[in-house]
Amino acid sequence: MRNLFTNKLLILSLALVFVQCNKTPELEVRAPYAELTLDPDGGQWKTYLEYQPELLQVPAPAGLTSVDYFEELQSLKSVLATVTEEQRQAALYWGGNGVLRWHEIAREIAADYNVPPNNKEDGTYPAPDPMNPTVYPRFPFANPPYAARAFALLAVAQYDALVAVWKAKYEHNRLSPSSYDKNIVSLLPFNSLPSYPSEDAAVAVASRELMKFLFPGEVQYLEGRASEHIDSRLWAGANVQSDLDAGAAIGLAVAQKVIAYAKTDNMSKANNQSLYPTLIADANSRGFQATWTSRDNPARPPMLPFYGGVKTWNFGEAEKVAIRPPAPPLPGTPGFEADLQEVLDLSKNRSREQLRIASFWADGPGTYTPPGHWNRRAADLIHRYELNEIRSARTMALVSTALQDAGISCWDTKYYYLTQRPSEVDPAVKTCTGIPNFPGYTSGHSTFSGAAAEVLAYLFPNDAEALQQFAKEASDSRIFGCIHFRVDCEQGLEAGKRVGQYAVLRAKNDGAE
Amino acid sequence: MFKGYSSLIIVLLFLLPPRLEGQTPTDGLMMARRDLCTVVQFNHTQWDQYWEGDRLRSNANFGTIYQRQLQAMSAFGISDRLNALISLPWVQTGATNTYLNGQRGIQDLSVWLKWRLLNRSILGGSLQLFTTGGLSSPVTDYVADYMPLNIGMQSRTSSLRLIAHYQLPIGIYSTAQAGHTWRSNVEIDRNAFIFFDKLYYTNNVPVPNLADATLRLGLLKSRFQVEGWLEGSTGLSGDDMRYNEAPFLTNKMQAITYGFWGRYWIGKLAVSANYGQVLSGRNVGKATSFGAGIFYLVHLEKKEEKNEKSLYK
Repeated sequence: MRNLFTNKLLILSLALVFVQCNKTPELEVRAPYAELTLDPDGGQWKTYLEYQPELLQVPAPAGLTSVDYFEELQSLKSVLATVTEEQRQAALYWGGNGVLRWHEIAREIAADYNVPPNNKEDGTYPAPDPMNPTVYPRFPFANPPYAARAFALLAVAQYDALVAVWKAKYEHNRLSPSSYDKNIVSLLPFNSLPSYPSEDAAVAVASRELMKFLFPGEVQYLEGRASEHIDSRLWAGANVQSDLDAGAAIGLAVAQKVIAYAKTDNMSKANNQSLYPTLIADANSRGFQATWTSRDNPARPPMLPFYGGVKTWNFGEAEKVAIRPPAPPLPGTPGFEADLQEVLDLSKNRSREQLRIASFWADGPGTYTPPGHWNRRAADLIHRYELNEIRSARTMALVSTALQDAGISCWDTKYYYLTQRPSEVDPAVKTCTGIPNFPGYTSGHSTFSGAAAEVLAYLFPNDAEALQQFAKEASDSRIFGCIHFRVDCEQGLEAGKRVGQYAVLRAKNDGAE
Repeated sequence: MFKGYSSLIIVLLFLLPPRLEGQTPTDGLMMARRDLCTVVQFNHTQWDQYWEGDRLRSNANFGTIYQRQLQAMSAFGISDRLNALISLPWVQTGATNTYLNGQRGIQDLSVWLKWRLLNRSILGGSLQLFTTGGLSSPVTDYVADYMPLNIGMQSRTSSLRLIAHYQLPIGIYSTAQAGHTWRSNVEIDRNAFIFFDKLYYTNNVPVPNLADATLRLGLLKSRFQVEGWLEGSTGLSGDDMRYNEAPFLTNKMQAITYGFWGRYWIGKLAVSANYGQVLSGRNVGKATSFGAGIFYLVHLEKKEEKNEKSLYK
């Protein structure tokens, strides 16, 4: 009797061992949708960079009654006859908005590369080497300024390419293959957007090229994703090969231009550590004697001290200086002491809700950074409102350029005043999140969030209030975390809004409204 | 920056039943019917090196990490063959060289039932087999996504284990046990995280299940008990800590640990002392732990023949 019971128990426990719960989280699903509007005038919208018209010219497609086109349709049907389930899934995946898919890929890679290098035995830190991107420490260290620039360059390339694609689409007006051959059934929701040249091929190639430039250690992976994206249009029955070839040509031409821009945007000077002492001297001369020092152990060189000199997208040098917030209160002044007392109190006692907010917005190492956080929110809104490809790209470009402008403006301010973090002023201040390796005033989160919320609130007026609240929450999160004084956050949020307004100004004048 | 660390304590103290021998879910001892033993136990665990994946390192941004635990636990003899156990710890964490706040608070409530399946004489000694089933659940809303300074994992768990105990009349004994712990996913405050180098857009984090096994050798006398033990535990899934990053709830933790334990009875009171050391591991701290406990035994049912020895029936 007892043995029988023991046996049953053994069997039960063994069974339980094999009934493992699901230990893999779900990946994000974005279902394809039929766009509400197609923006036939998209070819006239204002691009970020200037292109010679002949650079983006594609040849007229083969006529509908031509042998070439007939053969292309036959070839597409033979592809469709042998589509596997895996290919069908890929078609649906990319059909859920290629622009947004590439931003997802960018966020994932940015998160993966957002790890500060470990120090060497001698206490110094190795610098990532763009010539050897896969050797530790991998290039790049995708910190918030780097990620902001990456997302902006990607978004600009996608948008500029799609403007050229839209122009050619409505010049040539060749509709999707299923419009001409009833035996071709597209897997994706039908729309009457001309299919030559393919917007997906343009986005795939432009994104691939920019991402290869930004993350040179990921070339093989990116090429794989891009070729899957392009081929997925055949598996979906949505394009013939010549649609894809023409789109790819435009994507490549635009990407080369954007990469040329990126090579001269001053990013190469952003990490000039040898000139850092001049910044300290300048801050001293402005009355900031106790300047920021690294909280890392051993002390880490400041993150991109000259990122404030990188080229901005939506305003110029004079506006950048005008956006820079006034000097914060100096230690010893009542305003300063009140801010210090606030974080001292908080560091002893935070509510659970304050801890939640600090953690939700932490966006530290191993994450897609604050620009990625807002980039994701923009993508969610685009998907919710089912924007078409070119309007998706416009939205991402407006937000992403505003985010990079915010980063540039904020870094300009940070290294102008070089103020200390609360725990540097008073070690009794303890934080509940990591302290980033750059000066305090103004808060990066606040500036990024102020800018992104301003742009998104303009583009999605139904959500304006919620977006501005999110920005305030993101800004507050840094006070709750006790890594910033209140003045850092409030001034950062305001400066961010001013940055965002320049992107809104562009949006009002880019021809899309 | 928030940099790498690892929480061996989680393996050592939280997800395995607490080491309060003589009345734990993992040992080979039983409370007699209607006996109630209550323990207050203090433990201190610390480490200044940890395995990031399989690479042992230190981290100047943390220095020495410590975790202190004050725990109340009771074991009750429902019958001579069936015991019920309950425990509730208060935990405090910190590090010697960090600007980060430590955490402190009440952690997870655990309950177990322990059943003696077999008790027979073999080769001049007595062989006993037990099984234990347990459940645990967090009782406060502490932040789990705060490794290595978190006080717990926020995971609800269930566990099942088998225990074999062989004892000679002179008091020398050996206990072998193996267990499996299921852990629920947990919801964190963020809504994206990296798992196996992939980015997931969810706040629902998979926490690996665990398997563990222990071998003990000891001497049990009427007034005292001493033993040495060796234990292995492993996560059954999960990823490695990423290079130079903080540990995360999804990490697969492994540890081989040895230790000693002793207890001395004075009437219905007993005092205990324990020591443990991690020998090798993966995604855990190379931790040293020590602690002490006070036991108090109550016979709820008056029996004429009853004495302290009945605890070890």
